[in-house]
Amino acid sequence: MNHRLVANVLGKVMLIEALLMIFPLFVGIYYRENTYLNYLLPMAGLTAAGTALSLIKIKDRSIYAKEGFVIVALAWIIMSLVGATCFVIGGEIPNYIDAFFETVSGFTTTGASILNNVETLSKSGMFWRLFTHWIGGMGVLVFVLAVIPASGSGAMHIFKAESPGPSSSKLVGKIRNTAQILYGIYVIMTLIETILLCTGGLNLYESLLNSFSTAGTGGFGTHNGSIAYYNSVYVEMVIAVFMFLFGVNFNVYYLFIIGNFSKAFRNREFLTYFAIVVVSTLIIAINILGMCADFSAALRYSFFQVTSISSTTGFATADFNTWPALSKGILLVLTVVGACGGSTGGGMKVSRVIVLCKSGAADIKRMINPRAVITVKNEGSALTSETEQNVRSYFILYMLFVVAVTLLVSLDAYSGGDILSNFSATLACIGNVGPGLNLVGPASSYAGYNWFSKLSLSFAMLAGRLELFPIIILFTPRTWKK
Amino acid sequence: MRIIIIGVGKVGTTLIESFVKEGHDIVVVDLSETKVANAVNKYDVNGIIGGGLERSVLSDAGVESADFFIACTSRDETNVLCCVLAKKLGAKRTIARVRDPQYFKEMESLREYLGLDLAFNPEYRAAMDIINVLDFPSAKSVESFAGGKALLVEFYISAANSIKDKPLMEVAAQYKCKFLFCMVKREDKVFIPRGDFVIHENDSVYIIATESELKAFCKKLKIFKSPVRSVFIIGGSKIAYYLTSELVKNGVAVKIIENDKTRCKELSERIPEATILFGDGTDQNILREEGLKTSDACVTLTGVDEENVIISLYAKMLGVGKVVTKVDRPTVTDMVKKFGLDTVVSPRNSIANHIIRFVRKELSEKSEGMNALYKLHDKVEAVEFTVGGDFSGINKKLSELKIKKDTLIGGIVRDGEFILPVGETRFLLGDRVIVVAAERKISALNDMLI
Repeated sequence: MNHRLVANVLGKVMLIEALLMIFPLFVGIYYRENTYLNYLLPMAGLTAAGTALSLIKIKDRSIYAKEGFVIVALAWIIMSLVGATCFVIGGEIPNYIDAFFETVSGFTTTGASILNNVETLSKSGMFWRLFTHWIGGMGVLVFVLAVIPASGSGAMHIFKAESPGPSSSKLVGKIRNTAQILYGIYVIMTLIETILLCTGGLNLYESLLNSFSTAGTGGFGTHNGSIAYYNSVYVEMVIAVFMFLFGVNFNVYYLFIIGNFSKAFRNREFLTYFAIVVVSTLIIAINILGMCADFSAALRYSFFQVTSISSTTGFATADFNTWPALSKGILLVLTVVGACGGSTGGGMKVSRVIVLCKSGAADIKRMINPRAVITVKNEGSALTSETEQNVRSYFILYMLFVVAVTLLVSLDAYSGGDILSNFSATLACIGNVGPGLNLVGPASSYAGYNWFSKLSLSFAMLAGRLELFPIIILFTPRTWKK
Repeated sequence: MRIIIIGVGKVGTTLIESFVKEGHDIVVVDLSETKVANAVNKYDVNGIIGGGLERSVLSDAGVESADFFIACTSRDETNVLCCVLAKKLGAKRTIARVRDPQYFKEMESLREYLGLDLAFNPEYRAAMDIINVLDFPSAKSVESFAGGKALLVEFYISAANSIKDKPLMEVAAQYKCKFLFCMVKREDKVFIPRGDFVIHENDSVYIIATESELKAFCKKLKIFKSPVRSVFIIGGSKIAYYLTSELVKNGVAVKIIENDKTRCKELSERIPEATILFGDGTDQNILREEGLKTSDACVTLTGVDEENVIISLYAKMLGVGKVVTKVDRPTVTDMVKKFGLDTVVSPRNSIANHIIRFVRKELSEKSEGMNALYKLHDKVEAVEFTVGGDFSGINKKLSELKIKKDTLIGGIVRDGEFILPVGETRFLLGDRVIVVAAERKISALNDMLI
């Protein structure tokens, strides 16, 4: 383990977090709130520690896979630990564990909240809460790679460890340019959404915050009623479409930019994701028809909820807890499947589900014709057994994680025998969705759980956002052995 | 610059490494997934799995906007075909590796017809590097400038050397040197020395001067070795073939020992002037019996680095005047130098130098002409330029020009005469100027001015 290098990169991450806190600080000053200490104190701490760490001299600049995982896992934990203090110092969320849960939920773009009444937060506090979604959506280390020139050899390991999806490929030759393009697309799409929301009658502050939440596929709302508060078809449709768009692999947008439309439309993952959304929307709309005024109303609620859950955002316009079992079941499946790899969304990722289905089908064919040579193809090229193996083991680990966290959360007496609440809470946290069913449904919050459950779920959110391995590797003793 | 490299083998990897350092945008293509994955993980490059002859693979790699397309797979035919296809698809310049001696011979005439901008042959390059050293055996390494009018030579300072522990000014005065010390290498560090610099034991010093001047200097220092008249080559590889055919032209007696009978036959047919021995080159009895001890030089060219090192150490022990060791793995090169083997040749490095020179030259076409470029070290380069009309220091005295830090004018060749640059020396149109620069790339003469 190259300790000096890890410390140095973490120092840079701290400095960047300090820099990002300037935004809520200014929001507080602009609205004449007495909240500046909430940000100045953590900023001072981050700057001091960050400067000290980045002054460490590095002898060996090479990053290997192990360092990449450790850097990413530690960076996210440190950012959440420090980010939480902003809420505690001003007393907006007095309990540190609660604040930590809220911040992890923010950075991992989960959107699970322990606040029963979000409207009591100050403007700057609310800004920071939603800004964490935006930062976490694309990832802070990708940002580090985009702004810091000449990262040493092996920076790809950091990029891979932070970017979601089974295979993270570079858009262009250089990692720095790739990171810049990704952030460019991200910023522009966020701005477009902000402008569209402004046209819909929202003020700039609310438009920007809701765009942050959508862009990161987070799900924190600015009001207790989430997006239903606005009661506007236009706002709902803009947000629904953008939730869908942010759940698409960003490589597809790059293909659009460089004018390679045919290849963009041939992207198997994108098409599957699109099909999943359309089919789920229709089934749910028919299923909930009896509860709505007419089909268009049913379509409106089901489309919003499907894009919200499948992109792993977690906004709500209806309390789907009251919907029929089939609709709830579909939403639970969408929670597990998640968005596309290389997007800001979470879950298992559509591309992994495609590979799992294809390799499962191939196995059945092999059982029928034991001598048949079967090549599984994905995105136009043959799938190597290594990729197949990786995806399968990811699926198994994912499920083991879900089982373990569900059991840990069930130690808590809060749910009172309602295992579905605990199970859906775990799925919603590890998939970075936010709302689950029953006790953790869209109309309620995670406030009732005890501190241990909150920590377990925070851990699940981090593991889900970083795709398990960085967190597992960080806590494996072997990583730290000489 | 956008560069596409087909084939991630030894040469491919060396090229990737050097181009990444130069800051180019690189896409690598190979059939092997592991090779591509390794390259992408280790270097900041983009990778594509596939064959260089597939149109879709090439267009994914962005061939239409590529400035350089380099094919270095293990097969000559593939390399040439790839380049032809790439040119057709819009690549600006194409470079192919052609290593088969027959093909390489034909390349000069076919190159233009095929649209190739450069056909390179690592084995031929390595042979030429060895020839340079054998011509001037007193030095560790030799590079030539201005068509051989000036040589850049590396000397190793042993304990017995009389210039050690003296400031360079004193050395220059004592030996009436008509040259400059351009660079000193001490362990892993390099220095562009000034007059007060003191040379230590175990340093390597680089000097640019004419051949006669260098010979005279070596004689004064009593480290002069006369040019090699007989060479013992171990391993009948392609390098051995190119090296021998060059050496026999100058009347040098060459013995090649090779343990493959068919290869021995082939060599004896192609180079009848050389003595081809069939036997195991690692067998010390055979080496002694065949007169390794009495040869002027020993060159080890087997395909195994370890064998080359061991045989070289043995030759050194027997007291052979000049021992040249071929080493492929770059990590071994540094280790081996610590064993006291002075001249180590690495075909990969020399070909990488050759191609970087070509790329840099192509890029600086519009400004002053760059004639040659040698990388003396990771961070230090020696570059030769012809003074053109757009050089802002033209007709000015050297003392009037403001030259960047760690940059030095090593020499000027005017009308075939080597001139030692002093404060009064002027730069005239058509002069060939050799610049040594550390920590920066110099693509044109103006780059060295502040």
